[in-house]
Amino acid sequence: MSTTLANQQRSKIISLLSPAYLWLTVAIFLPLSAMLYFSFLSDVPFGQTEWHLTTENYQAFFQTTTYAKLLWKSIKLGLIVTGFAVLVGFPCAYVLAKVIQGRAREALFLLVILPFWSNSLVRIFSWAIVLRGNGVLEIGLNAILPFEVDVNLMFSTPAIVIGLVHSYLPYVILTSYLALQAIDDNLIDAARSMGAGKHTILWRIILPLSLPGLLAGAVLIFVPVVGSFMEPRILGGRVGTYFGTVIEDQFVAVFNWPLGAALSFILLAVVLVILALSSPILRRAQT
Amino acid sequence: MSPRRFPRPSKALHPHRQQNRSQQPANDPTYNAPKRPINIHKENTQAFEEAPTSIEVFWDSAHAGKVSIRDDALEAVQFAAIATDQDINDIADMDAVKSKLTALMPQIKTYWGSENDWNQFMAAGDLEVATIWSGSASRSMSAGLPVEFVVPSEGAIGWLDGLSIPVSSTKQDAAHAFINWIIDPAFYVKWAADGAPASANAKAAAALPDDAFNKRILSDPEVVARVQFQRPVSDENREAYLALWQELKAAQ
Amino acid sequence: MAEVSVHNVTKRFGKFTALSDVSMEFPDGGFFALLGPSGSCKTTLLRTIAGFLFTDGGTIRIGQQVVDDIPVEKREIGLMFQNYALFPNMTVADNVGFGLRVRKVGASEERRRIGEALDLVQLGHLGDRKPHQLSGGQRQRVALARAIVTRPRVLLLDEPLSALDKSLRVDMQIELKRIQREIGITTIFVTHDQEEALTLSDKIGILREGRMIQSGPPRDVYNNPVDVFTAEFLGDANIIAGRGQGQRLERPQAGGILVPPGSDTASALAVRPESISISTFEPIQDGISKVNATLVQRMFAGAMSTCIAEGDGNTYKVIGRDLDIPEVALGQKVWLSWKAVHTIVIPGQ
Repeated sequence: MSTTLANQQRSKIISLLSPAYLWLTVAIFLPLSAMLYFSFLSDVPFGQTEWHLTTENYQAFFQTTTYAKLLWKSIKLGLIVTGFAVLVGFPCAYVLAKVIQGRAREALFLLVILPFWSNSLVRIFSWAIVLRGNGVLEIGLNAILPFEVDVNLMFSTPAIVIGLVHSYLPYVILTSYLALQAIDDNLIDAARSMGAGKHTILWRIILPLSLPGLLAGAVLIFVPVVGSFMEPRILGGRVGTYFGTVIEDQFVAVFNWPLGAALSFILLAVVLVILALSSPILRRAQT
Repeated sequence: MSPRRFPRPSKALHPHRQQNRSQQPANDPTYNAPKRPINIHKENTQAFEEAPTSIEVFWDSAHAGKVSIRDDALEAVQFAAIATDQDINDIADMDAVKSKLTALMPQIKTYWGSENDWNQFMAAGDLEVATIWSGSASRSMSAGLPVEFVVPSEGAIGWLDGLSIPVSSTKQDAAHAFINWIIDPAFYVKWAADGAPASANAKAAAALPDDAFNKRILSDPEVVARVQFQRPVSDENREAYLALWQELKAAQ
Repeated sequence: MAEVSVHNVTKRFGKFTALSDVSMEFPDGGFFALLGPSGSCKTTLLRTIAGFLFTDGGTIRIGQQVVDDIPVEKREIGLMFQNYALFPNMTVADNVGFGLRVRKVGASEERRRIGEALDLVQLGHLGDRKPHQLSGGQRQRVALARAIVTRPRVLLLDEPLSALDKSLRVDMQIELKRIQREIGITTIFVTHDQEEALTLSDKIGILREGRMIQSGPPRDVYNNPVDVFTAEFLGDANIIAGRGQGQRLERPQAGGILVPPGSDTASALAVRPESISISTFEPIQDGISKVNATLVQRMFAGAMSTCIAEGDGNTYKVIGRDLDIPEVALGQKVWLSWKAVHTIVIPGQ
């Protein structure tokens, strides 16, 4: 009796889980495995190409300082963008979760989510229109301000940061919002009744309790930003060369998939190492 | 896709070049159709009183931050080779190329990747002087962009589009008819009005009206003489050029 | 420690008037209950006293100080929530020490007072635990220790015991009363549990729809409800229909339903179930109310039994010791009687 129940239970679990795992296998695991395999090839195995297995592509990373330099540049970009996104997104999430109620909250939430509904390329080109010299921002500011300003942010690191922060802001807002909303308002009231001011409440109660959500959002931003290529290429101009753009070049410009794949896996490894090193901090924050 | 028609691209091979390196069977009729000088620079006429004649305009501090070249290792290196008075197909002094490109980098606002990029940047006033293909230039000008196309006195990079018919083709007659049509003077005159590459068919070139872009600028034998045509590049050189270009970009 | 005075307080939220003209005195060191059904805005009154909300009219005093413009952070009150609101990211000791840390009392003083407060609630050994490792009763005590450790002038409790199960609740009532008496702090607590209010407090305020209906010592309020609502809300009451409304009241010797001497007019009469005796013979004593009724139900509940009887156009609920209730078959006639002083005269408005 109990074994049949257990069997039924098991088949139920399998039938519920298998679509997702099948999908993940087909959509992620197989292509990723193929890429891993590519990264150990001497040449792209198309047509009559001769190729053999090699670790040359991984060695290439260490043969010049170019890749390491670009990887460090990308990691710095990831940290800066994540930092700005947290600085902008967390207060926004706080206001949405704890200050605003009712329909206004829904409307503001919609505005936050809106970037997700537009194509990322469209977003980036919109920023290009705004940021470039003689662009929307400059014309707008000059229409308002009594003096002339020259706002040409296009093709600069700030332009890349602005574009990336905008693209990934919803992640940190959403995760922080969920964490903040889970904080019982009574905790804040209790702290106030004990005489705590706003800063004390923020640092000792709200931040520690919402840290898991905040960090989840930060990780969700940091990882893709380190590998980003479209925003740096379009908004960065001359300074827009990053690890991600070099990988992209290997795939779309110089047709060296094996090197591109190897560089991608190096990036993946470095990101995983960074996350592993920071996981003790993350874990401590959660208890 | 027949591998003979499109031989395997080697590493660092730009798709544009695939046609150049086609290994055509000896018995295959080959038409070297439109001749296409590139990398002849073109500048925003609003930024200049008088059109420059020297490639040195790219290094002129008056245009600092308003310069662009295409994001392509081979082209960048060959462009610097011309500026350092070298043969683009046999670059002897790579150090000179490197220092010339190093000096160019701070001048550059952004690299361009497509004709569309180029047109946008020019129209927005982001650029004052940039490299461009002649065919693209003629299209931009006929679209009304206030730019001028100049073949510098030091020379320019040229390359050829080849039209090939694979041996295995079962529609050889139709292919011949298509090639004959595309190099035909009557068609070429119509095409050139919207912006076309320079034609290798002398009759077609001659049929252009006198004010046509390709006749006005490219019919001068002296200009054509200045153009250095790209020949196949060895894998070693290609890799060296790519490494140099990536290093320079990464240093920005 | 200080007395609290709420004087003609009004609080509005937009067009909705939550509190209208509420007044009540809370003398120093007493234990007070704010009692009311849900929607009576009793918690609003508590939060107004605490300083989360500011009044739209009237005055609140703590000690000699008018606190109308003082926010909660500066009111020096202790507050305990229904769900305890312990900080889940802090240990028990850090929870208790939170208010001390804010006041910067210094590390050694902080440790000493945390220890004292935890000892008071008998949790001295659990300082290193996290709240989620505690039972409901223990959390309750931590919350209490945290509320009193800063030596506030007033202790405010918002339904402090309602999350506990019945037996634990009774234990905690005793414990709460002990601690309150030990430190002598003026304590105001909100509850919807009338029994709890009667058990614990020195004085009860009954609220309905934002108005203070009646306030006073539990016995006074229980015995002399000002209206039908209070009579029924605080304990059980048999409202006797058709009597009293606007009429001159019958004199005690006139038989039927008698009222205590001195009562002239009433809007209604009532009698508590436990005041009524049941007998098979007509009682013959003087000065009692009697009603001939039919027994319709009898429910045995151990020591006490509840009977329902119908007579004289009313339904009476009677609660008495099982052995005091005669064995009568359902549907038989019985006599209900009670002393004239037990007839509750609800005054006219």
